[in-house]
Amino acid sequence: MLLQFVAGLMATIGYALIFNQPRRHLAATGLAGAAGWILYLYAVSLGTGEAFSCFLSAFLVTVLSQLFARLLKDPVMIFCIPGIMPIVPGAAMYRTMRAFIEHDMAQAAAAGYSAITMAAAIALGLLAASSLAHILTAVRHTFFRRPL
Amino acid sequence: MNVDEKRVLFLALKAGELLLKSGAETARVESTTTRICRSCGVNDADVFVMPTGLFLTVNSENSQTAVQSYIKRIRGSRTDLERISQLNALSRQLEEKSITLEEAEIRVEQIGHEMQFPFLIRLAGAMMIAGCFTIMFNGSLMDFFCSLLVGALTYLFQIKLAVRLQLNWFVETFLCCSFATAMALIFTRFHLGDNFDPIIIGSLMIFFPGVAITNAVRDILAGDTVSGVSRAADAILTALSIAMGAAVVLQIYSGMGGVL
Repeated sequence: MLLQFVAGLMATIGYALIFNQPRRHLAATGLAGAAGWILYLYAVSLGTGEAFSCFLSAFLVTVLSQLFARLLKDPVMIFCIPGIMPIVPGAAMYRTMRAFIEHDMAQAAAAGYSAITMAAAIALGLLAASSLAHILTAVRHTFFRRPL
Repeated sequence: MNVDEKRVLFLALKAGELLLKSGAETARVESTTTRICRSCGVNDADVFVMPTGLFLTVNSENSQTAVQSYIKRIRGSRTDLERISQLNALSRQLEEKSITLEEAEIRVEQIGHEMQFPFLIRLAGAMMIAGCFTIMFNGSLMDFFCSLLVGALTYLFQIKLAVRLQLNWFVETFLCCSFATAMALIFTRFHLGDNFDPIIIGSLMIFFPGVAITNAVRDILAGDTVSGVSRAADAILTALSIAMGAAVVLQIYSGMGGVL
């Protein structure tokens, strides 16, 4: 698990480097990405489906990104983009492609299905967390009249 | 239209162009451009942004002058989060009047030229991606080192060769992924790695359209449906070209008698 955490951390920082992320945010982004990856692995090991694990993980990454964005005063997407990369279904897509080459259509359909649902789940996780942040901000604005 | 107003518009246009090229989402480009216009005293400004172009219209308060429109065609983009961060900060400084229009013009020009990380650090980033994903998909220690090498070679191939040829992004991604797969197969053939699957996945991850996916969702959520759908199409096509690039090489390899 520790090895996986370090791998997730370094992979996220790797994306941050090729996307030319502001230097001062490298640690925060790496943490968000690694936390997302560990949550994904943990959820899968508990028997949660791949897609739902992706949803949870994307949700966590986006919530952390929103938090860091407010603490460090920079746009959310700066943290979010490298952060979600570890859970992008690269392996599932690769398995789909491999199965196609080997003319194993049943396997290709199964892997393709999991790749598509995982991608959709990531999109939903992003969407849910962003909407939640939006609602919370709106509530704070309307009821407490405190600008965030 | 007086000269000052024109300068504000060109500043806003330049900032919007840089933002869009660096991979900012539609709503951010729109809000930053109008914020720059408003904070410099051009109140009646409206902007329409799509991933391939930017339209900016202003109505001068002087009723004698005509309504002015600018169109900026955007070609090619490279994700650059530092630029987005700096332009965002710049527009807020303008809003707070902590910098003048002249300073802002100079800053935008600088932001357009500077590059935070030198090539070697970005190369290290690509190696980290390739190596770490190999571990995350259960590669062995040998695979990890092999993957570092393949990732570095692939990134070098992309930046030093494919980008210089100025191919369209579909062909560029296709070529890079074929190259990565070929390298992984060759290295495992010579027993530098145990298993080529995790190595290939690691190297292909460098090209995954994470920015397009994230921005597509954010755009659709913000109501910029046209941009969102076109970014989603971008993500799907990129994923397809990655898969095809790897598939072609694997197919040739098995055709030559290699064992998949």
